[in-house]
Amino acid sequence: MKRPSWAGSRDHVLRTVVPLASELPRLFLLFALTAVAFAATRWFAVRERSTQLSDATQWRTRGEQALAVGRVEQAIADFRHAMAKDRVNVASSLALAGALVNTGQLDEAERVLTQVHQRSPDNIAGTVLLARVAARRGDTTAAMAQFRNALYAPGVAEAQRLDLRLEMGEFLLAQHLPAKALPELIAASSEGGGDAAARTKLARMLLEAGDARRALQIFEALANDRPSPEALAGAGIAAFRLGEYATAISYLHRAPRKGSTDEPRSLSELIVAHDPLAARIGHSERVRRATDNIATVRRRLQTCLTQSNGPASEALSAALVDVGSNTRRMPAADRDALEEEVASVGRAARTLQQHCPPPDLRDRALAIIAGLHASAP
Amino acid sequence: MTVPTSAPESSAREDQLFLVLTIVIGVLAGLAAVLFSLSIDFVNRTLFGLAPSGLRLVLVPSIVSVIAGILLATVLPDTRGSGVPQTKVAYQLSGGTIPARVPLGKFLLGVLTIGSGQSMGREGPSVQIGAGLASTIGQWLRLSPARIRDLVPVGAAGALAAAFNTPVAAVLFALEEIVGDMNAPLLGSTVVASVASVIVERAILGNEPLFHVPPYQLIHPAELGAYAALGIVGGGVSLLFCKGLLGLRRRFLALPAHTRAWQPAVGGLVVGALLLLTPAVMGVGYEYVDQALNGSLVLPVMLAFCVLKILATTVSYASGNAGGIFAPSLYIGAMLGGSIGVAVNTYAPFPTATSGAYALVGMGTLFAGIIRAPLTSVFMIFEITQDYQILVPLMVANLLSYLISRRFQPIPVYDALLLQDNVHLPHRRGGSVTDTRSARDLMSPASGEMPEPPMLHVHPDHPIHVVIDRFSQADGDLPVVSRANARVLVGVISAATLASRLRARPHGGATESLATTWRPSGTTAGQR
Repeated sequence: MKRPSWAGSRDHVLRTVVPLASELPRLFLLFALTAVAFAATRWFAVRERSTQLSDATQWRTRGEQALAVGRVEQAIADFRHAMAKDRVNVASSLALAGALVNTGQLDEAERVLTQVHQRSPDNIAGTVLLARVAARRGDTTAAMAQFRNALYAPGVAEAQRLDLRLEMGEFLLAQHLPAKALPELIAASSEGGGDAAARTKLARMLLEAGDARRALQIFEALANDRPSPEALAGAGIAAFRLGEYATAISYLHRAPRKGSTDEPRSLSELIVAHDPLAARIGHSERVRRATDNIATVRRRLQTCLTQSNGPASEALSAALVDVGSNTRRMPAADRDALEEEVASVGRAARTLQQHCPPPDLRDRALAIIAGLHASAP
Repeated sequence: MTVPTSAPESSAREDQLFLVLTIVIGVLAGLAAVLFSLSIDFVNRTLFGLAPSGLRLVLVPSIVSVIAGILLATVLPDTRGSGVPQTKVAYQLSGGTIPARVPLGKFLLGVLTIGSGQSMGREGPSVQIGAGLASTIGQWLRLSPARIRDLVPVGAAGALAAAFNTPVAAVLFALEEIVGDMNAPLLGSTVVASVASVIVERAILGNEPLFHVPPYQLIHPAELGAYAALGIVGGGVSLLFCKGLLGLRRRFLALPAHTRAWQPAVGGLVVGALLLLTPAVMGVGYEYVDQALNGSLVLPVMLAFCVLKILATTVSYASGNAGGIFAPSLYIGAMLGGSIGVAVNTYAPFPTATSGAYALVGMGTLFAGIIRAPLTSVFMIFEITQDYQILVPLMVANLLSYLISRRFQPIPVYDALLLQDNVHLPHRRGGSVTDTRSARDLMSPASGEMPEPPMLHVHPDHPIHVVIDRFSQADGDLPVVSRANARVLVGVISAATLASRLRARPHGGATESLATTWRPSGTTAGQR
């Protein structure tokens, strides 16, 4: 009798399943135990994870406290503990990287930051720290690239952008690259936001980068808004650089006396007081100033001649002759004669600066006065 | 439905059960390893808190090791040490039978010991726990002795895969170290268990790697010379570690038996004192390995950590605490490799990789030198980095370390530990997995004798009934020693061998001597 087609399948099923059937109760129990063990372990793991995260936060807080009191190495150790407990925590990673950058451990900082970047590519703080790593290495190209990545990352606040530009400008100025720093600082000057300290810093850096006009505008705005010693001194120095000596004096007189402003103030005062070609003074005053300037340089040249010899002596003698020849034209005292007089006094003052140490502020002032009027149209 | 009971059906039942069990055991071993690791962290935090005081650092390991010592001496004597040697014994001598109290006890003592700061690893205990679970389940399901034995490496591979997150290395370790045969038919089962275990581990703990490893590069061909130097130094340090560990343990074993319960406390006290110097020697220490891999540690610190870890681990282990040497060997290797890496970075006239790359290779180098599982060491580091470029430097360094260690310490550390306990494996490798040597080769190379006669043994002239009686007292196989000198091992006899020989001589009497049914086969492999 022929076996039905399903009989073979049934036999196969019986051969494969039935031997196992005797163990099914135990197997089911084993599966159930496995499932329970899985659930229990998972619960325990979640609980442990939560505790670890809490520990990580505590370690980070300790690190921040240590950092605040200047214990950088202790802070780094604490941040590392925090990282060990919670490796993917961005705040701990950034805190560690920041402390590492501060202590010059740049390779490790870069590795930590690269991991942060891989996890959250738009993290601005991480990108800024990467820029700082490059900056600490003196790698201008990489630093500028990272600063720009941070500047144009989505979600950057106005004030943060100003800070970034300032940091970038500061780095470039430190690298003696004022030409590269200037565009960033000009861009920063057009950014809104930023407190008085940030804008003071910006104006100071603009001054350093050679843009005294913008610096003066910012300092003046700050000085008018809420006069601070920094703003007044900055405005005075910026005005001095621009040759606006009267303005410089007005700001520098209001600024507290300190080393950096003494010289510009004294020079400005000398220039304003001794310029024969200054605006809004009478003819007799012009003649008096010119005569006084000539007498001063002649006295200086004669004194100096007695103490020098060789080429210096020749130069000083020539200058004395030059000043003497112009003196003879003084009674005419017309505009051309005065300009000629100012020029010859300026030449004599430059000769004195060159050959008659120590430097004298009056010499510098007279040379500057000559320069001012020589460049005038 | 009738239940089939014939022999072929019983065999089919076992085949099907075995397949299912490899998966279930893989899952359970993985869970056990994960739970073990989590519990260690939990106990460590509970005992030490976030920032422990100096007093706490000294007292915690000391007090806990007193408790552990009492437990080890009274109720759980077979859970001392790593667990790998015991698993080898279970597989090779005891027919895979591991009592249920062993994995439970190992779990408890391992958590207490490592959690209390002893400088020991969690991988060895995980192996014993996994193997013990597998064996217990096999016994509970009434599998045949052969199948129970086969489950031991399956459980070991599963546990190690989850403990170290390296499934391939776990399979290789189970075959290379536990089975001692890379051609074993258990390859498929261990792979299945290892994969199941890693899936479970990642489902619970996530995909975060154990170590954050920087990208590896061989910067200059001349660097291979530097890696070779690392291999040579690593071999020397491996040797130092093994000799130190075995020497100190021999001294502890020589102490009177009644001191056994208090010996772990010595380890606890010494480790406590070392913890006062630096907490870096505490427990597994992978946090510091990670720092070495990422170049966060300076040369003097790494050298100090290397020396202190050798000291702490040696004392912890030799005094009889429950914990492994797998993780310490990686730790020591990372610190040594990192130190050499910094030196190479500083003084080499050619461009070099970061010190982290050397720390990574150093881990494999010390593992190859201490554990003597060369394939496992290579694949383990390869799995950690997942970078093909590291293979050549790794193999150069590992091979040199392995050869130096093997030359001056012919017996691998796990086997040497067993010899100190008078346990003689029937198939012990001198390094090659195909090596088969006679029982006499297992004797002390100098005298041809064991240091002491085995506690429980028979000799060829013993009547069969005595042998059967001895089997009733033994956990597994019985060593057969010379009648003239009980310290000379003639061979090993298993219950299965004795039973099959007796079946072949159905008319033999119980008073016949063992020699009538059993002869040493000449090779240890033949005894199994």
